Amino acid sequence: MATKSTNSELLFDPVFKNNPIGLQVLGICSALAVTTQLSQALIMAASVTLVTAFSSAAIAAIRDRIPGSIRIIVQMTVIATLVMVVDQILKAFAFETSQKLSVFVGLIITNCIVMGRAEAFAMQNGAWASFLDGLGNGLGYSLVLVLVAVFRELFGSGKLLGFPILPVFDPATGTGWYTPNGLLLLSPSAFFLIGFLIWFLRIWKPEQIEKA
Amino acid sequence: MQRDGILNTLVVATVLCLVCALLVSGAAIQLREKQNENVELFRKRNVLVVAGMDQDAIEKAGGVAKAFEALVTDTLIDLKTGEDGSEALAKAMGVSVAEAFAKFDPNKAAKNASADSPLATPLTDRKADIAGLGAGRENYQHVYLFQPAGGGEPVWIFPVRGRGLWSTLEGFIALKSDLQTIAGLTFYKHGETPGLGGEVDNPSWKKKWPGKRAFDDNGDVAIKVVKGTADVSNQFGVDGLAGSTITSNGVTNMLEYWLGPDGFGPFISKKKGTAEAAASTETSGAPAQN
Repeated sequence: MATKSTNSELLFDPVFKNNPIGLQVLGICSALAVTTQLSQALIMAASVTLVTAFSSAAIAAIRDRIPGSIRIIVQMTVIATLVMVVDQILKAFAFETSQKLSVFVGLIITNCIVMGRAEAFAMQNGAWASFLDGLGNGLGYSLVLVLVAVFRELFGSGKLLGFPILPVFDPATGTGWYTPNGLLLLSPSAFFLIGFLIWFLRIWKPEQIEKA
Repeated sequence: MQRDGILNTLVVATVLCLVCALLVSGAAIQLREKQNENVELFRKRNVLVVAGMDQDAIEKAGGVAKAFEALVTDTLIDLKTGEDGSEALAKAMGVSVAEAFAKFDPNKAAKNASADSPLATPLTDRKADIAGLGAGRENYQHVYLFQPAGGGEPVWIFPVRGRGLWSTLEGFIALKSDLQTIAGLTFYKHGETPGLGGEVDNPSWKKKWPGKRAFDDNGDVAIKVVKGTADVSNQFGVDGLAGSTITSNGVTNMLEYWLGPDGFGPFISKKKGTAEAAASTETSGAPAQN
């Protein structure tokens, strides 16, 4: 970091200005997989945010002791530990959702955002700054996840958080008028949605457009 | 101590591993009880689901625990004789009958099977172990009888498990009260490939099971997962899962095992026998009234 960032810059820059999904295009695979329902996306977003924040803080706190030769494996161990703890907590307190998230909780370990923040930021900065940076990047990821999930659940099944919002057309009884768009329940739809999000984000903030 | 020296590297690695191991095992132990409760509830939910209740019906009945309590009768049977074995099991475990229901873990018993264990029988004949159970088979197993709220046909639910490609699949098969027609099949635990063998979870595949027949006219297990599409007239065949022959065969084999003579066969034939006896006394009793 060439210039020292203030705390609020650390926290809020990754949300819009330097969004990990929108600008860096990291963490896409889980964003495709867990966004068919808002409840799943919220739990996943909270998990990733907590893991990123605490792993960055922990790594920053011991950064002066970590030998360069085992740097990456140390980061992985810290991240994996936190993910396993989160997984245990989910199994105890959000069992149904953890069943649906299945393997994707474990895959937070390989989420590029977590590892990326540890290597790119936490290894050079203090624990508090790294915590805020991790939290901010987690929030940036959460924002995209929640937006995509709201869109997919609302138009894919006419519900939000499991509650019916749009009355779904039922050919048997003739009630309702909304025919759910099945494509939105499939992974490719998240690609389109994230594509549109990145497009709108770059119309709003043209400085994010890469030089051709 | 130099940061990049061998000594420091070893110290950092060791301390880190210790701290992380402590954290993970601490969390696992602290939360185990709560997690086991959830697993138990999930099992119960699956019993209700395979019996034909949907989410709304379960909610209406007051949640999983209440609905299970009210609608399901859980019996521990002796697999060999097909009789109620809860008292014998409680004696073998040295606990009360109620505790035996809560504490008996068939999977664990089967894994620890030995010649002198009263809880399980070792499987020595590899060829006969078509479900791929491994070390042994438990001597006692749960059988659930589901009685729908407000009357209606009861449903028998049997736990089944067996090897697929990567994992042991655990689930339930539900039979209607004739113990012949399949009412449903569900798996609550497996580690098959998502999108291929993992499609055993797919609701549209599970919908192909109800109405199929489990046994042929000789009383042998005839239900099969066929390769490709099952003919509509084939009442013993269910469409195979594309790209997952081994998982499909695993499902076929575990049903053959668990509904057959080594599994719930004795219990089923006994129940069928009493059902037929009841039916024949009814018919023979009818003319006598005239």
